[in-house]
Amino acid sequence: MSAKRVRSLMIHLLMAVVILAACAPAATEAPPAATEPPAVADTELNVLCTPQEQWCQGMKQEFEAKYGITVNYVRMSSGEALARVQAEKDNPQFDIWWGGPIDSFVAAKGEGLLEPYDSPNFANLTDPAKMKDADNQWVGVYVGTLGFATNTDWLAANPGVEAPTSWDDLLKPEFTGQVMVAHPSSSGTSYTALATVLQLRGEEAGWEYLQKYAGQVSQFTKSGAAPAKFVGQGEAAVAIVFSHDIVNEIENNKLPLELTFPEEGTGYEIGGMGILKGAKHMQAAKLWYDWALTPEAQSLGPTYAAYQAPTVKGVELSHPELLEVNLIDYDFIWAGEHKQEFVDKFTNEIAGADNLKE
Amino acid sequence: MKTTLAIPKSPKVQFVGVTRRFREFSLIFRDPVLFMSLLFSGIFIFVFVLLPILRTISGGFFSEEGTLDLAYFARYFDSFYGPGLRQAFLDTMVMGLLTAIFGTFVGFIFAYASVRCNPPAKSLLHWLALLPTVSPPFALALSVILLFGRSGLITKKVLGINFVAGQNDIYGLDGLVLVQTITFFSVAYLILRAMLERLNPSMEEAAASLRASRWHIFRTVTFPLLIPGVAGSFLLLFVESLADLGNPLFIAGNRTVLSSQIFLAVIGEYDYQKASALSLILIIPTLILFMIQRYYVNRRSYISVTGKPSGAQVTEKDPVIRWAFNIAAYLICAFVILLYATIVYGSFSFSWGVDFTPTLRHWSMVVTRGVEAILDTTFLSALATPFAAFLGMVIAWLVVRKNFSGKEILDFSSNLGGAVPGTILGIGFILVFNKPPLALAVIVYGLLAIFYVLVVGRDTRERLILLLVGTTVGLLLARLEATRVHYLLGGLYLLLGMILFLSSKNMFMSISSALLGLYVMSTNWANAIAQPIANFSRSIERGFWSNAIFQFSDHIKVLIQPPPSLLAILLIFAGILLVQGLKHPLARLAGGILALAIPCAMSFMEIPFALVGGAYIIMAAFVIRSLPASVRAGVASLQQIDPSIEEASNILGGDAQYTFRKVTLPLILPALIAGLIFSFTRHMTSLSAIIFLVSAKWRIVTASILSEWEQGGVSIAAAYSTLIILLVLIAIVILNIVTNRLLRGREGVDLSQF
Repeated sequence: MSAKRVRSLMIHLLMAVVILAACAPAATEAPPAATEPPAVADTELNVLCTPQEQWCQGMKQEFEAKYGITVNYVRMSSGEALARVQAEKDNPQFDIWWGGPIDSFVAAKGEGLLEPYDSPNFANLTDPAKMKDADNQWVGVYVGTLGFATNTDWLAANPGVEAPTSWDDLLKPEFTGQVMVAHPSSSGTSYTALATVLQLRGEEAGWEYLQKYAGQVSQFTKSGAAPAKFVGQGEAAVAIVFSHDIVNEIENNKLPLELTFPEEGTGYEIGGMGILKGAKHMQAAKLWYDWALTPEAQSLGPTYAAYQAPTVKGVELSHPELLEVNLIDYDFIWAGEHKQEFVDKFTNEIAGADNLKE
Repeated sequence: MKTTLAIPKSPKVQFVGVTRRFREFSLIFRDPVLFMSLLFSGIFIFVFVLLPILRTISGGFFSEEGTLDLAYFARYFDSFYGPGLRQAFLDTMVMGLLTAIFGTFVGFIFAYASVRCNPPAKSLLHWLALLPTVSPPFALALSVILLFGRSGLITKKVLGINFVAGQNDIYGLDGLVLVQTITFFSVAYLILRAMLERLNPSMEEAAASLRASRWHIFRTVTFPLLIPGVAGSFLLLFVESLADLGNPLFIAGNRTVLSSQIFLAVIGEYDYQKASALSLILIIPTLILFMIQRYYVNRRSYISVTGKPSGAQVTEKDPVIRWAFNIAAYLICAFVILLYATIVYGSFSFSWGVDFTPTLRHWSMVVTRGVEAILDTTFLSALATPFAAFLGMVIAWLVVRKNFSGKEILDFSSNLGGAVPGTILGIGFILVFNKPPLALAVIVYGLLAIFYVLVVGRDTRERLILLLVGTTVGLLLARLEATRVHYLLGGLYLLLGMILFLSSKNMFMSISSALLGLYVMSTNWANAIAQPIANFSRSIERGFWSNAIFQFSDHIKVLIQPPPSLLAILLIFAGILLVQGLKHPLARLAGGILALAIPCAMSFMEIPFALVGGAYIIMAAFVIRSLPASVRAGVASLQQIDPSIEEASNILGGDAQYTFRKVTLPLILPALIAGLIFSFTRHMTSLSAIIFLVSAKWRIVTASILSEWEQGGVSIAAAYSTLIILLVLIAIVILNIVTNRLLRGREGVDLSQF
């Protein structure tokens, strides 16, 4: 082939491609057909997930199997999640935030980070007055009560000591340096404990108590559920954790733990859910929101080692005894609104300075 | 780039300097490859190193409302917050100091044993000493807790200790220093080993023949000669220890150090101002130590690197000393093996501390729920690796072989990204790339465009036309709707290909331009390619394979949909290479305008540099962290190549680019490959810089380990750690085999330059 022919061939080829390219915009990619009932164009959903990894993964798979939408999730503790949502305010990477104590959602609402959504499934809620936001910015998806987990091996090795059954028991000398709890700044669990004490005793006596209680703590962890594990392994004697996490450690990980509740009343959490303002997959987020409020979705927990109680009607409780305890009338709005202030106070006055003296 | 800033303050005094600079500038300008490398590495370092760091540390001075606020610094001096903050600062310094002392000491034992004492199984010793560099940053903290924690295998099962309140356990500064010593001693070992090997034995021989005793020789000859190495490794370890985040988070107990304080300020209190203020407090000692190391210790090296053999190595003759060193080294080795074996064992036991029954349940969790994180991490690390090694080599080449003003700054700042604590970089990345100022895009584009017209245009009038018309057309294009504009831009490259072909008959250039056009258009087709794969993943049963296949569809999108603002930088350089050779003035003008308008449109599409949440920001963080090592590897190997070889090529008519390709590159290939290995390792194991950058789509294993550890338990964390170590080792073996094939018979890869 002569050079000239190659040249003319090249020119023709290039021109052909140019013309093709010029025509191409007409053939823009058609939106993929929705796979299942509701016509949703989104094929992906980015979930910010706060409960345990196993449950997040389970919910992801169930949702994917049902709706054919791929779920990307990342698990973060509630403080971390709130920090992330704040940082990405102008350019949100997540569509929906599922799980984690409601006070983080109250805080997020206060900063205008959540998108209101009036779900048709609000009708399923057992207690709509308490379980959802007045402006529909968040809703409760599970309930869990706070309990104490005590290592039974440690109890056997220390005859005469009994598992704590009141907040005052934690201050006993035998538990000095043996209590483990997460840090309220990063963990919703620990903040629930802090707010419970403040509500039980009033602010002044409450802070006095917290001062003493921090002196009993061997280590503050980052994640709320971790102390149960550490105590089960014998790193300390008593953990302050949500009771459903304790059940999980006893039943699935066979840790030697005993579950007790404080007699004078214990706090509880409502695990929240909210759509983030500016979500890029809004339709899919609403689909998840509706789905998460169905009895079907809420009965999945125990399959994935999550024993939290549901917030909707028509779900059989896996562990009803966790709710049959003396519950305080926990004020979520008050706790949420004061979160920043209380956490700052705790960090700066108690766990920041005092504990360092050892 | 920097030279343009040299504006004289008083013309009379600086006149000579100015002419020199001007001449230098025009010389650089005459060598576009040099100028291009300079501009490229300069922009990269400015955008991804200097800007984020400056943004972080300046954030401490401003409150949320943007007013000047020194509250967080003042807290160090009041009586309320002061004691706690000062204690944390003091603890940080004590930690750094102790880690540096012990790490250097252990490193010295290893280096002395390996070089002078001729230990049996010397290479085993060498590889074991390097093992801590390939493991995730907190793997050792994990295993120390498994062994010596309150329910540790040794403390509880073997020794039967039951911890009571107040008893000293592994948590705290002592445990932290132990873990950091083992984690970082490899650095000291490598530095001191290189030094010992290069010591000129004649001095010691002279002392010995003068009847000096062994101790006397060591005290007065050997040790003084080693002082630069000892000081250097001491300072490096100090810096590494301050920057460490993973270990303090887990093993510091109730002590807090600055790096974990910063981390908690962000994730716990969502207080970026406080985090920034603490960052500044942490970065000051880091920078001081780093500068001392670079500019004082390195200059005082008594070792002359002549490349000439300096006679036989001295070996230790006294059996007592020899075996003392060997046994000490072997004991430490045994400890290292024990620690790593524990991690593997931990990943297989049912519930550590309670039930040691072997089980695969943690591994099955890792391969189902962890598969996304594992694939993403490996993919992004691998993709960033060649780029990091390449950039490192370019910077090394500039630093060693070229002379220009601002060279020191380039060298220093390329090292800075790896030396500052990763959390500081991570915070800076979020602050800068979440809602980037338009000025950033304008500055980057402006610099590139000016450079472009200087190279492409032949006279001032032509340059001005190119700049103005190209930019205007580009800005107009940028306003079009996204799908359309990609087709249009791709089409313009095809047009450019035709112009090139018609005017210069250069087949290669026109085909390159056409391919570039197709690549730009393929941004629109990415979904068409990825969608069927994603749909397929949704159609099969949920589990390992569906997750893995879905991730694959995401990886395709990463390859063909880079952020436009980053692609634009490469396109400008591509444009120069394409258009530069055009002789015909009209063709040059038309082609030149096209080749500038396209990147210009790319630069200002969507929100330029809004990278948060994507894959590229994680890769950028990876590259920044591994850059110092690849630069060092490059510098070390370039310094050993005599410039006269390159000069010969220049004299014979090869330009800079030809010389680099045909002469320098083959000679530095071993270092390049060592750089690849090291970069990949560093990417796979980095935690602190990327912890704030993970997103739902892009999860990174090290961050998962952190979350799983406290949540799912140590065994899953151990399984993840084992997996990372395995993946890194596999990559090293593969690269080694490839290299040995490539470099048949030539000098192998020497990993010990790091």
